[in-house]
Amino acid sequence: MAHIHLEDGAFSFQWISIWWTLAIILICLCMYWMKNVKKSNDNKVLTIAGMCTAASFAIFQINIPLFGGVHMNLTPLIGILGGPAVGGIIVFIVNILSAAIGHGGWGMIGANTLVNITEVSVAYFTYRGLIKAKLSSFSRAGIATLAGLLLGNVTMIVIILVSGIQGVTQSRMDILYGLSLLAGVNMGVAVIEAVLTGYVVSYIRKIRPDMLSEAESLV
Amino acid sequence: MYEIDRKKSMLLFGFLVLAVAGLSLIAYHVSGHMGIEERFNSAVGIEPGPEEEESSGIFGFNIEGNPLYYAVILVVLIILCLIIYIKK
Repeated sequence: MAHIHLEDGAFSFQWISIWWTLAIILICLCMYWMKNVKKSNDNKVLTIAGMCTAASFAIFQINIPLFGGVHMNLTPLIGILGGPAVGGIIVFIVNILSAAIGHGGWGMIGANTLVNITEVSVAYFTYRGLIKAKLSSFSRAGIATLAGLLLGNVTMIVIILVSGIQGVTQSRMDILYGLSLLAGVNMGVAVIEAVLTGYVVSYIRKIRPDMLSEAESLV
Repeated sequence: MYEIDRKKSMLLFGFLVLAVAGLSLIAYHVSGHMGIEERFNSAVGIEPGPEEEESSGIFGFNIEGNPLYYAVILVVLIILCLIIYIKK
């Protein structure tokens, strides 16, 4: 949901390269982990990944007329269903496909992938971590979504502040203030996404608990 | 299996939702009503470019980027999902 909605050229080439490199390193780690540690190339994982990619891509391109226009991309749901490794690869693909249709710049894919990987990972670990709190799956998924999207917004702000925006005269404090307000508005949509994710996860838990087997296993 | 405390679950989630929604409304009130790109450009101090004509969409829901490419990619993804599901 947090997404750096800036055109190519907003970041310098140096920072675009750094974020791209970091994103590629993380994606390679995700692939290595899936292949050599998890050894999960079974069809169930592939089906979940395919479904999540299609759903996330479909919903991410829709501008929702709330607060003047916002986006959802279901990253916390992807994290809960697929885990951080599969989720990381999914968000990378969704960012590439989004840039391919003109939603977001190619240079921003690296930075946006890092933001989305944060959302996926935080949601997954929060959902798992709350098992011992004896909360319902609806609440756990909802709280995990809020936590994931909050930290995704924080990552987005940090990336923009560190990179700086080319051709802008505002001070970093002004940018921080502006982005904090933007993150605040984004969190309003996070509430809707939290309720939606809560319902989807609790429904899946009822009809296909095996799909949540990894996130549900006790730590 | 573990026993779920439903009351605690709803109270905790409800409190978080209300707190986040309240803060979000304050942020919206302070920043004002604007589109996503306008909000981003204003936040980082980028001068607004030439006005782009935006379609009103269906009930205000618009598709970002090229709608034709969106449809093509979505259809390809759905077909791939079906193939994987059937092969399973």
